[in-house]
Amino acid sequence: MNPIQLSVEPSTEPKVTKPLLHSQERLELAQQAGNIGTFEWNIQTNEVVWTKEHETLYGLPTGDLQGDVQLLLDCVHPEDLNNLQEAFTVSAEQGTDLELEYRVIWPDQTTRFLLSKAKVYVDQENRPERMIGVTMDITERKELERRKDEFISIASHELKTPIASLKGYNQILQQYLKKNTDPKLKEYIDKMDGQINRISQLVGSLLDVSKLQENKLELNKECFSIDDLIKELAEDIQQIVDTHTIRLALNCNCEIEADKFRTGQVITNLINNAIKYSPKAHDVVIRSEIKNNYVQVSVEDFGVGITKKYQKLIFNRFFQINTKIRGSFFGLGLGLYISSEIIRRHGGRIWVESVKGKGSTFYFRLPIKAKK
Amino acid sequence: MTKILVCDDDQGISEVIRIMLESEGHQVLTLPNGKGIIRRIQEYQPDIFFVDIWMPGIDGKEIIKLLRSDPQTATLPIIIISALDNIAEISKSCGATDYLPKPFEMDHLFGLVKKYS
Repeated sequence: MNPIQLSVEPSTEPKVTKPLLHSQERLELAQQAGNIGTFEWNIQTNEVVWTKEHETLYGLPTGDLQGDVQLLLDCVHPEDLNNLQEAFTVSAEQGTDLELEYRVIWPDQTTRFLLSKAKVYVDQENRPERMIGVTMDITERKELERRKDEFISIASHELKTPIASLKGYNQILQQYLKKNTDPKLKEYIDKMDGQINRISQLVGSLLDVSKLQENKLELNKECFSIDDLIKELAEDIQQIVDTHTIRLALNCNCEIEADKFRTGQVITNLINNAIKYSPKAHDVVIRSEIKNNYVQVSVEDFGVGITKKYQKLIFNRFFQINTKIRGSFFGLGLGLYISSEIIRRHGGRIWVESVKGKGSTFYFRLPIKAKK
Repeated sequence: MTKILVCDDDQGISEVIRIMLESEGHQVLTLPNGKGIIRRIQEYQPDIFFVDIWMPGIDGKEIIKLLRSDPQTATLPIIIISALDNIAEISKSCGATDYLPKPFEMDHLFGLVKKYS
């Protein structure tokens, strides 16, 4: 008999299960350290099991609470409950991944922000069978985000006050110099006013972004002619731009129900971009037309253009394309993000068609009748 | 000529408003804060009162509350000045007559004075 064999035989089982045990331990440790809870919901039998971390996250006493979904639902913030139930139902019915942020209220009445992510697994007949997911506490991240937004909000407010004084003094100077005959003086003061307006707009952009992040951007809808608005804004810009001619082909002839100030902001942003990114061209063309229940506005330039891979990204926050000539294009990279959010919140759509080196055409559509 | 009182802790803004309005022939008094504001208003008898919303000590909202509860100043045109974004809402909710957002165009200021003189 081989003594080695003897000693090997009994150890076969632990050899297999030891790595498994270790893996289980590692998982538990990771879950505890990361304060991550896992859950499994049998969609067909409506049974739920979860790890004890899940109870901690919801503020429940840890113990034998398995299976009672109501216990969890009772902890969810009343304002988030409908949204949560709908998200789980949609995900379970359609088999789509779930990613959801919501609040729970702990027994000591503190509010915590949770994030749940889950996948749905189907049975042999391709019906959604189980949902397995993780839940984690994101309260700290939320708090940091809130403080960042609050900071931007306060900073923009604080910046606006000295800008207001600066603009005021400059306007007083303009008044004084009305009688002065030196044309250079007037020119420089006017340029200064232009620069003050620019910094004022930049600060305004920062404030808009913080409002978008906090979901506080409100639309004040009214009825107005989109063609008249385009004409008005194009004339304003043409007055201070002598490198480009803005050509108009406006065929809407109708009133739309939208936020006039915010819509104007989008049009101005697109015209200014068209001029900025076509330094060697001389034309910008704005068109408007009716497409079913929408008005469609386009702004075409014959400038540097945008390669395909950047065409979606340019609507993201803080995104700017890095090019060799980047240095000549100033800006915060917020304009198109703000524009796309304004259009989206109206129930419209914004997009771009472009050929690198040939030029770009930016389009947006707004519903003629405001969506409720 | 209109008698105007301006109360703002930002001296730049106060001075800008004073110079602009004096150039139009109005009489302007500026105050750096709301200390003793009721007495100052009774003495000066302004036709229009410009007041900043955020000020150390007694702030714009409290001043308006005090003025509105006094029959002598209940209908005084009060215009709030602020860089806050929701100035229109604040103006409505605190009982102000109108508002001037910072930064502003000179013609906007003149327009408000003309409207409430």
